[in-house]
Amino acid sequence: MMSDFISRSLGWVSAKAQDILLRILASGPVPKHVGFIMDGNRRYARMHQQEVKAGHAEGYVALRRVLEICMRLNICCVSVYGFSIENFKRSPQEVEDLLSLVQEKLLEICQYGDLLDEHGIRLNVIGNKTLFPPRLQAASRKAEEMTRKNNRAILNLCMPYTSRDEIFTAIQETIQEKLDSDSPFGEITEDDIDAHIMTNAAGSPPLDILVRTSGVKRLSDYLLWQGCEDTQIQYTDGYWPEFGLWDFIPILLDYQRKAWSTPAHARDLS
Amino acid sequence: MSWLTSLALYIIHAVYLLASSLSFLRNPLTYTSPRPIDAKRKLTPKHLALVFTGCDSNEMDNLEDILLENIEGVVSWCHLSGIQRLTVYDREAGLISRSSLNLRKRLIEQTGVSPKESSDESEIEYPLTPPLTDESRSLSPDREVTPDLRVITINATASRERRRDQRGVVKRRNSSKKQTNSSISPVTLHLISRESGKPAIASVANSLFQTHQRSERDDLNYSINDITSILEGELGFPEPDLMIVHQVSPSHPRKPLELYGFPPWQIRLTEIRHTRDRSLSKWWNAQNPQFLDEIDFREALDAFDSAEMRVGR
Repeated sequence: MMSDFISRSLGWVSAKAQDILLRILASGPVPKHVGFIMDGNRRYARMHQQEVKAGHAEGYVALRRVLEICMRLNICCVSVYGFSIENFKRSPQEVEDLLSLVQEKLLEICQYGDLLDEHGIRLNVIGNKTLFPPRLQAASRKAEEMTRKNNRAILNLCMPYTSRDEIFTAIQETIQEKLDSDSPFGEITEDDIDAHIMTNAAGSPPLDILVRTSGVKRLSDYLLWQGCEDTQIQYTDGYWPEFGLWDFIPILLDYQRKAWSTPAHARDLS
Repeated sequence: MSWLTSLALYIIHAVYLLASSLSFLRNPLTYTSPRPIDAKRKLTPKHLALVFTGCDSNEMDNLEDILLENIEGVVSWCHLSGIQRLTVYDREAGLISRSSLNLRKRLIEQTGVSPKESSDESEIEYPLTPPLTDESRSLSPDREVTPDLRVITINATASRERRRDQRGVVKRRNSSKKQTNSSISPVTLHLISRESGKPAIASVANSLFQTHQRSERDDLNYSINDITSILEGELGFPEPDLMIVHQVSPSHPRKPLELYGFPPWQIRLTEIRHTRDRSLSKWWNAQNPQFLDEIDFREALDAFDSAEMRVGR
């Protein structure tokens, strides 16, 4: 009884402390858009002698935790790398497990919609969805439709996605738009292509921070167009399922330091 | 209560600043010096990109000379380590691109051999690529429009002659080294700017659009590989294996990593690292721009050697 009481009390104190800490951090400048490369699920699973499937499930738990943190910090847009087009090269079993997990979570969103509706989050599935099996395309459409009314924040689930595919699609659409227009004169500019970049077309603000977990120091074809300019790239050593508030605090503090030191940023934030 | 939360936030930042400022202190028990430049590594990048940030020539005297000297040094390290291609990024295309002719001369002087030195001679040729003007755009007979990618390329080709003395014995530069029949590893140098990135992609889109307009076809028949072959082809530059981002104007603690407009298409799988704080003395000399050290270079090579590449798997 006593040990239960102590453990519940400690849990309450910890939750309160976290709440206060988040309020303190949110009182300073906060990024509008943060991207995550959620790397390390499989290595996490191997480290704990679990199946890879379990690692991905833990990764989903981490995603919910991080989304909660971002929403409480008033970060209005989060983009996560859910599934790379390159991931189709993995073993058929793992690909099937991953796609099943994605479908299961999308259906969960459709059925309960808890976290997303609570924070007014609109879900966008960003990527070359024609590469997905029909059942997953249908689940994506349903999840997007269910949250379309939400307008406080955006969650971009990038899958199946690569940045080159996104840039290429933007080039195609820009050229086609120009061919279809009544006045196909004038040169195509980077702003024309920028408008057709999927995250931008879905209403996302410029990317402020891009985080990659698991100690890998590459962007792996993720948000290259969005992240090559005025974006802080942050690498963390732990695996994605371990990522939490304490990993995010220094990232946020770095952003705030930049915001305070840049006059343009200070103007944007005021 | 808002003043209280602001105060608490500033305290948190002060603690973080103190912790960050001490990040240069390495644990003497665990730190190992990076291996020599020419050490045998499992993985050596074939193509290195170098991004210099904080280059404000208004704040620093002789910045151009200092940067060119640093680039010369990096080219020689590339020669020693077997890196075949070096891309140097200067965001505004001011400093380095303006100095490209000067840089060519310095590279020739660096690799040339004085007549008083020992036997081997090498000649480095630096054929020029077309200049960065609209003249680079042209219409070929098949009505294709060439995009303007804004990349200066300096190709170093080397030939080595062995001079024989009167007895017909081949003299070696360093008799302790095993004689090889190979030439000095050539290093191809690309000088790029922000214009070589998103604006170059727009230029490719433009050229595809204009080519399509001039053709009789209805469909737009091109793929991602077509875009890649243009951006990474003769007028462009290929994907770097490793990128080092180096802050020229010192700041303490070091700013987080950013890419400053580096061309996005080519960094899909690039290992991207920035040089770390190594000593407070650099910060105390805040008026002087900081070179990329040989130690920074060797650390980057060692880190690349230990990186794992899975490419989606």
